[in-house]
Amino acid sequence: MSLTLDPMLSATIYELSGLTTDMHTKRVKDKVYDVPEVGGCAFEMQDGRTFMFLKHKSDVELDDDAITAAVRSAGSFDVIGRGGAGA
Amino acid sequence: MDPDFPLWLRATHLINFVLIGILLRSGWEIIASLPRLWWRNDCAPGTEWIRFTSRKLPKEPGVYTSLMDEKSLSPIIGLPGRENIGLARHWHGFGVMLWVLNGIVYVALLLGTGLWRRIVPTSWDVFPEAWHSFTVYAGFGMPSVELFTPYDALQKLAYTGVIFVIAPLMILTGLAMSPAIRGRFPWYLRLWGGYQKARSLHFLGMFAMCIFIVIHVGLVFIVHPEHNLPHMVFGADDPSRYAQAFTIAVLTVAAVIALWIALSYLTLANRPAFHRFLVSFTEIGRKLFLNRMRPVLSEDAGLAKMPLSQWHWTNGLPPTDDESPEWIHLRDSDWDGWTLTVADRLNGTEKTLTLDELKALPRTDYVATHTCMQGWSATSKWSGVRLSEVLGLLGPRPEGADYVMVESFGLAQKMVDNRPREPFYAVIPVAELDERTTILAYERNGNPIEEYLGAPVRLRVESNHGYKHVKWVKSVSWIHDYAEYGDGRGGTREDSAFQAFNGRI
Repeated sequence: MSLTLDPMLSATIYELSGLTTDMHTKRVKDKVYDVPEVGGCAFEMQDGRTFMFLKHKSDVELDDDAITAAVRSAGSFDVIGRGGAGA
Repeated sequence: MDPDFPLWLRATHLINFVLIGILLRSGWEIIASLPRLWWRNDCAPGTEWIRFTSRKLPKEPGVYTSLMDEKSLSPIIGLPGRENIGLARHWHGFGVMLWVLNGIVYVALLLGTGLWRRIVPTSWDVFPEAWHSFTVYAGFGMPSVELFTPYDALQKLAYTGVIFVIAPLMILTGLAMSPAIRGRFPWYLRLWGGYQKARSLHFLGMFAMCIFIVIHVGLVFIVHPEHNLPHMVFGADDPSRYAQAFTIAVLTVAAVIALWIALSYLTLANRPAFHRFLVSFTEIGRKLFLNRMRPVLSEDAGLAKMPLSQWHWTNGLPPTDDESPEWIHLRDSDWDGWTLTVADRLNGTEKTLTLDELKALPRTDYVATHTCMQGWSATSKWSGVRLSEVLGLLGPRPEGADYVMVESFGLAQKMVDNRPREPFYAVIPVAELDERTTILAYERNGNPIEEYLGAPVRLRVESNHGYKHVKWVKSVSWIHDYAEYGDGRGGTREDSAFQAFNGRI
């Protein structure tokens, strides 16, 4: 049994459009990290689709509007889908 | 030809110019990875003495990663730029090795030829004379040419300071960044007051070097350039050749700047190739100086009472449902059912070990300072089982098993080509199993390891930077060669962030 109070974390997954290169993911990551409550950011690109995995505390619901605004501010990118934790 | 400006002097000066640019630009890339500096050793956000980021970080540990703090530099500024700390570290190592070599040649010839006498002050008169020059410059004047023999007092003080104070300071504080040196000679880090003080002094040395370069280059072109430039270019005190010398000097500076920037773009254009070249080159230095250094236990070094850090960064967050439902289930079951797979990949054998069985093996405790290649650090007391002890459960080391691979429940944060993420892993050479601080740790500071720091079991290899210390360990395996796994570079950070397989500096 852990004696420390570890924060429980979850991931929220977003599907993005417009990202094709590593530079694009870095630009989006830099903007998304400015959104409150985002703690980790990872990307997966496969078959022309891009997924962004954002880690955050489990008791926090990420602000989709803020995430979308951050993604759009990084370039010609957009959020086209969202999944819950474990989606 | 003026004997005061021989070819060796001009050549080492030019080489130094090229290399200092490589060092500074790769150093800026490294500091951009964690643009904060501390005097204290636990690196809590908000306690830094200076930071180069406006990003505010939460006060709660374990809810974000240090990678969040990374800044992207333009390839025009950083080497190579665009968040490539792995390659920046290799360029820094490459630059350091050649810069130190060039510096040794320069100082040896300076001393051997007696030319040191015109640089190093030998009379206290240098201070009032330097003050006089300073007041002339402060009044936007120019000291008389007769004062330059060939250097004036202010130059003597500045050159002596750079060559015999700042350059050695940079080398010595740079060495304190090495986990191998810190592990073998813990007193060396204490000499500097700890890792973060050494890092801060390294930064201040860099800052002083930059100030010097700007003033030095500026004054060369402003104060009696008709003498300076023929000295530098032709080794002659011949003002009649000033125009020629000026043209050559300007073209040389432009060419060197173009080379610096070209190195960035060439590196970014083919990161795997530059990784191979730079790591192969810098591995010479690791083999000569670092590989033989084996860490000592803190108790042996009298460091058992070293102050423990209250704060511990991480650059990877615990697995979530999408990464490892298995780890989540085990965590929610208080690790009931957790097992460690101990495997021999060469012969296809394996066995599993429960947490209780692992804890029943002989225990090792020590205090160590964890350093991330990004720059943060934390001192903790670690407790666990030597990795060699765990692998020994399979019997003697299998024939041809030259490495040990440790895999995590967690996934890589990034794959180099952004393909779907694969399990995080690290590989260590057999020689590091002999180190008494290569353990599978299950306690930190007397308590079970926090989830965000690797619960229930994580790898510790104290002679290496943190990227080798796999968290949330799932399996340990004898393997023949790391080239057969992942992208073949020996670990997740090596594959995706182009870190060196050898993490001893």
